[in-house]
Amino acid sequence: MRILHVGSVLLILSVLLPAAQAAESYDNCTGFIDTIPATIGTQGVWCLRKDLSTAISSGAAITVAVNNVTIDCNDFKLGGLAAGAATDTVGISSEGRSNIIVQHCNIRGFRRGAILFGTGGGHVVEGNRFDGNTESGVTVLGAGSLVRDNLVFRTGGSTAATGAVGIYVGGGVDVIDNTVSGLFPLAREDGYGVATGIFADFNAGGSFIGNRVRGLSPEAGSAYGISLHMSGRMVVQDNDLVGNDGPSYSVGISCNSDQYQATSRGNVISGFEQPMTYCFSDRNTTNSN
Amino acid sequence: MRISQFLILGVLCATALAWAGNSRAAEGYDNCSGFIDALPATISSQGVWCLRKNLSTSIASGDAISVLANNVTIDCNNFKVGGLAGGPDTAAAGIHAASRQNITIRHCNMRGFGSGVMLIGGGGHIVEDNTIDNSTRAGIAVSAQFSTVRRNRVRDSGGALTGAEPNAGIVVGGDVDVIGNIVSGVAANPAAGDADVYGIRMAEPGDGSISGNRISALAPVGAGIAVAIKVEGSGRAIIRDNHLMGVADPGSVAVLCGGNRNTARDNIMGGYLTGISGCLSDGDTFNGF
Repeated sequence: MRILHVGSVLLILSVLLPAAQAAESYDNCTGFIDTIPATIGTQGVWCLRKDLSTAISSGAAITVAVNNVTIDCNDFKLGGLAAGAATDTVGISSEGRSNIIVQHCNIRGFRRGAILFGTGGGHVVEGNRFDGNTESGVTVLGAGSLVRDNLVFRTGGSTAATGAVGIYVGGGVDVIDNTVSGLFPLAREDGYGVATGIFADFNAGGSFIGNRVRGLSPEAGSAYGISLHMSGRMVVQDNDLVGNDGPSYSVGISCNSDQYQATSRGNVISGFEQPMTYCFSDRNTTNSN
Repeated sequence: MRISQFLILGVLCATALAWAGNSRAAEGYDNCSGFIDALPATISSQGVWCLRKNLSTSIASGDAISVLANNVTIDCNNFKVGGLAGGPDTAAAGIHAASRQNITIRHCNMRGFGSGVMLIGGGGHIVEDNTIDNSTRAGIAVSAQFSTVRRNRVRDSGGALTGAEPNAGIVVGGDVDVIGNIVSGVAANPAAGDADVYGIRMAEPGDGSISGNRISALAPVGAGIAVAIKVEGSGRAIIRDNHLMGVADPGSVAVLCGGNRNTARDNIMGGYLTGISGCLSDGDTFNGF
């Protein structure tokens, strides 16, 4: 009993100590990315040590072509604003790789800020800013991946894409403690454009926890705080979701294609036309005032 | 039995110390674009700007550090930016940026300014992991979209000799998230007559989240009232999971909202005359003893 007590005290003390901060030392950098576009062909920790920008309008600013790579921007900017609203460029791209980490980046003005997709998984995207990307901030498709503690804002405005999504995941990805604020998709030719804060596509087993979504402002079309598509047994818990009070159709949490398999609990859903559709709901708060 | 107990205890101690050691690694200067070695200072180029020693100034107006560029990180590396010599009525700002994008302020020990950190306009700012004390008006003031104020310790704010504006630990405007901060001690201006004090104030209607904060020791003057969290207007702010401790001052309110589109959930409040006022409330705990 006494041992358990001492152990508990030590555990509490260790939790109270300051959390580790950004990798502000370059000691663990395998190499540096000093110009873009760049392709990473060797495993390890690849770092930025200055702000980088490009005006390329297609391709990727940084392509990761091997497994087990960390991109640590050390708080520096990866900028693509110069390509304009029609850009087709991706900030950081990796296809078919495993265990890719993207952290401490300030990624601005690409069509998609970061996209990790294809076979593979185990990716982590954390502690980044995604600002002014024209279609999506973060896209991660891969089992066992995590999107955490990112600030995704001012997403949309693409003249090359339809709709805007803050965070798009699939394959069993957890999305935890992110802020998605400001989605501004332009209307398509048919006068429609969807704004979605966090979208899950075939993401069974994933959890969306403690995220904040707001500022959904489609030029024309509907708005979704969290939307699940063919994702089965997901958990959506403790998220703060703020709608736009119309005039477009809006849903706080949509589980339309899963017919109550996904569980929604402890969320605050405020200002949506429909708070929830087809989710199993427990102890959520809706504010329709 | 006793030997096995010691063995287990030893393993627990070693594990806790190793864990603590890992989380307290010294910060490096490798990613610093430049250093701030004297005050007042002006930052006019993007990048990561660092302190490498304690700095102080006796200015009573203007800014100790003025940020004039976008995408700037000020990392104080836990050093002090001191302004106590400016006196008890100083109006100087510790760190100030106006109409800039993506400013980060972290690991700073700001002392004795009118406002420790003041970021007005622009957006995408992050103020995190700072210690701010003895600010004469507000510890942190951030009025900028898409911004986050988190994990700061704001102590002993207020008490300026002049000025009619109510003092607060943290003041935000727009869609700003205020998460996991500690606000301890906010005093009214002694010459202000009947002056309110606020722990956290959302001074413009917004859709941000105010969550996981701990607020205590608010000291109004005269017939002024203490309000732990005040949300102006009728935005869709979400106030959840805060711990708000008062001393039962006359008229005191734990959470005061300007309209019922704002939502309060799962807050724990004690020592206020009123728990929640004006907000939609769900699952809040009010200790009226």
